[in-house]
Amino acid sequence: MSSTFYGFEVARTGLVASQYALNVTGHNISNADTVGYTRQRLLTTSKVPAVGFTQFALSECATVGGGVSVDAVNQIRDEFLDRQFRKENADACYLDKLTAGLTDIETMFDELSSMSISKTLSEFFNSFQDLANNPTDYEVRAEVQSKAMQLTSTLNYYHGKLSDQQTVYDLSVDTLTGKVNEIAESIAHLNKTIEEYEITGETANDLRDQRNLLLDQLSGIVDITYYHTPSGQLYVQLGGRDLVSHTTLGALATAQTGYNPLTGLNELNEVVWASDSAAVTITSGSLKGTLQLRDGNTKDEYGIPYLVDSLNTLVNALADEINAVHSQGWTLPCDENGGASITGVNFFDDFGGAVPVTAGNFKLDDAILLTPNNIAASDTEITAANHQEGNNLNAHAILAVINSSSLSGINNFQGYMTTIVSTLAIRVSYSKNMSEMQKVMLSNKEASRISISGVSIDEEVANMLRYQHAYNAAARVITTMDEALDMLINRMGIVGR
Amino acid sequence: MRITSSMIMNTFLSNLNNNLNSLDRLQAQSSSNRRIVKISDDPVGLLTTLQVRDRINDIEQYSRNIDEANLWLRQAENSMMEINSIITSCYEDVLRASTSTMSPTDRQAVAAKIAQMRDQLVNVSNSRMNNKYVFGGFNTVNEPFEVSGGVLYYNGIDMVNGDPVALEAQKDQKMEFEIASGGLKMNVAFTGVELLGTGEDNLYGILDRLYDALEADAPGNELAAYADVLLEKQSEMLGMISDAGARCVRLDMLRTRYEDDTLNYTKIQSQIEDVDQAEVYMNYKMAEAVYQASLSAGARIIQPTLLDFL
Repeated sequence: MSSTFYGFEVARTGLVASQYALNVTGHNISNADTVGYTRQRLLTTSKVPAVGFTQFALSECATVGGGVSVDAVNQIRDEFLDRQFRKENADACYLDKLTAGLTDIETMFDELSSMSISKTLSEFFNSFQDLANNPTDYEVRAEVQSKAMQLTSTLNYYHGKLSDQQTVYDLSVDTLTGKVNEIAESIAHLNKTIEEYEITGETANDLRDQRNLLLDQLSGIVDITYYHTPSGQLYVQLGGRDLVSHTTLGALATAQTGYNPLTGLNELNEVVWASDSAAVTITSGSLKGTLQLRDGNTKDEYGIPYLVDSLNTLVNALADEINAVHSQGWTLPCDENGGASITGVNFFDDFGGAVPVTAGNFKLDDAILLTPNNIAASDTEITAANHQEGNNLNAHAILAVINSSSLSGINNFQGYMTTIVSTLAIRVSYSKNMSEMQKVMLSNKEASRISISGVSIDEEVANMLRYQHAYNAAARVITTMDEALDMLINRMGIVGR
Repeated sequence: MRITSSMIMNTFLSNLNNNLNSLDRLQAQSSSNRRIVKISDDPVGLLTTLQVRDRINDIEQYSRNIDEANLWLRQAENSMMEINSIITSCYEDVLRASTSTMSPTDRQAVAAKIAQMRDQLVNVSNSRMNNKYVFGGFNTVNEPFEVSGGVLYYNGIDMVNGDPVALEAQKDQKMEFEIASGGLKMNVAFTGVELLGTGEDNLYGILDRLYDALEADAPGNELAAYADVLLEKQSEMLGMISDAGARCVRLDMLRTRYEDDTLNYTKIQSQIEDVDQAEVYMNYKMAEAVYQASLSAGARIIQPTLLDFL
């Protein structure tokens, strides 16, 4: 025989559970737009009959269950999707960073505009044609000089812009490394808090949400891997080494030891482990994108150094090939040379071979800057006895070099410039496409994740109605029992009273 | 699949962004009138158009070179025509003077005229184009021909008794212009050595001796011999004139071809680089319609929730 008031207790658990469920629904609706929030659900089970272990059944009614028991508030989350998302996120952020950087460079290399390297190169070559046509005209010579100066200053400008950009990326490496440390430290801190919280047996749902969000952010910067120990401790690894081992942080640092191909100095920020200065292996994420833009010097690992290197090759070829022919020729006699015609004059400054010619220091030889008469158009010395002012044979020899398609290393000047530009265009376009594809992939993963974990207002409202009805029904059960007892206690056995 | 409102919102936002992107791209194309706004828009087209640009640039330069070369040739041709008329006039005078009916006084008069022609010859041979001497080889700034003590000097070398090797070497001073790709050059000038000839029988020397003969009242048959020499010189001169003419024709033909080429290449360049405004406008209208449709669809889907119907 069960207790008289057993039914009240059963109905009460229903009231409590519904109220609890309404609270959870309220929490979900409140956080519908909170970034990183995972929807929560109340876990309930039905209570077994309150009979204990007896040898015989006391009565039939005793097998009625004891109502509902509230077990836990659960998160609905798929760990596997989290992993997939974070992996794709690293690649997406890498490609995004790379594309943004390459697009910046591309905007600079607007080779179809009127002020492009190709254009100034063509104009410079044309001026040599005019020189061959009119080797004696001062105006024509001055034009060669000014077009050449335009070419050198344009290349200097591009070199300057590219190295400025590289410096920005170098600073960005430092900032991103700091950001990795910051996030990793927060994760280590959260690990500690979560452990303390969960010691009671509760689940720290909302703290876990925060930690997951941090892992998402971290995966965008560097390609992390992570695992949970059986006891629930979280370890985050980067390049095979622990970045976070439960509550301990394995911090990163930057050391100014990285080789800069642009300056030849060891001055770039290198990402290392703070504890032993060992290099960190980074293969994806926005930090990798930044590193590639700063350091990339192959066609596959395209970055600023590759582009600058290509420009340097062009500049070196220009200086070497044109100087070789130009220095064979003879200049126009002028007051600056005491009225004599001289030979052995370089067109571009080769700094006596002391430093390599680069797009950054590319300039005309001082003699050419002094006077355009020092442009050697003649292949013969011009003297009072041998008036060969109109000799244009050396100008033609220079034109032969300009038109040549068999220059060592670059084949042809204009052809090489076209290759530089089209390689850049292809890299940018490739990177853009890859980035687009990766973004689609990432948004797919994100959609699968939200599909499972995201809050649906409609669903919550429907649940809210359900819980409301359940609550009302449980309350009605109590009312009904109350009426039944009222009948029993107050109105029974009063016949004839 | 379970669909949540934030999924719908994300999809909507990312598609809306894509639509805006294409609007932006079309807008940039239309307003800049450039099909390739950024070089990565069409790397293959970019490669072609850069090569076409180089080609157009070359053609423009070669056309300028041809114009310049034409000026030189025309000037040389004109001067040679003038020299030719000098020879003709001298030839006629010699024929007249060689007849026995002419009196010594008249021959003196003819001699004076020949002397004038002889000096005129030097003048014409020193003719200039844009302040450059056309018959001086590489010597374009100083007068190539100079008469000193009755002797004609070309670039400082005695045309009669000078070193024959040195004189021959003067012929190498060809003023050349690059007129086609691959370094194809055309020689546009005639050197003084070719123009007047060297040794005893240079044109100046002939006229000088003719003058002396007329002054000395030489016999008719001796004078008649000069007529033959002059005829020979004239045929040489005519040969050079027609040579110059032929070169002018070749240059003109090349110039015409370059004009056609420029037209063709510019067309290719325009096809790659320029925007077909009508097409872009059509595409823009289409993109705009898609954008507006996505906005209105988004507004309808996002607005209502279950709450609106309870």
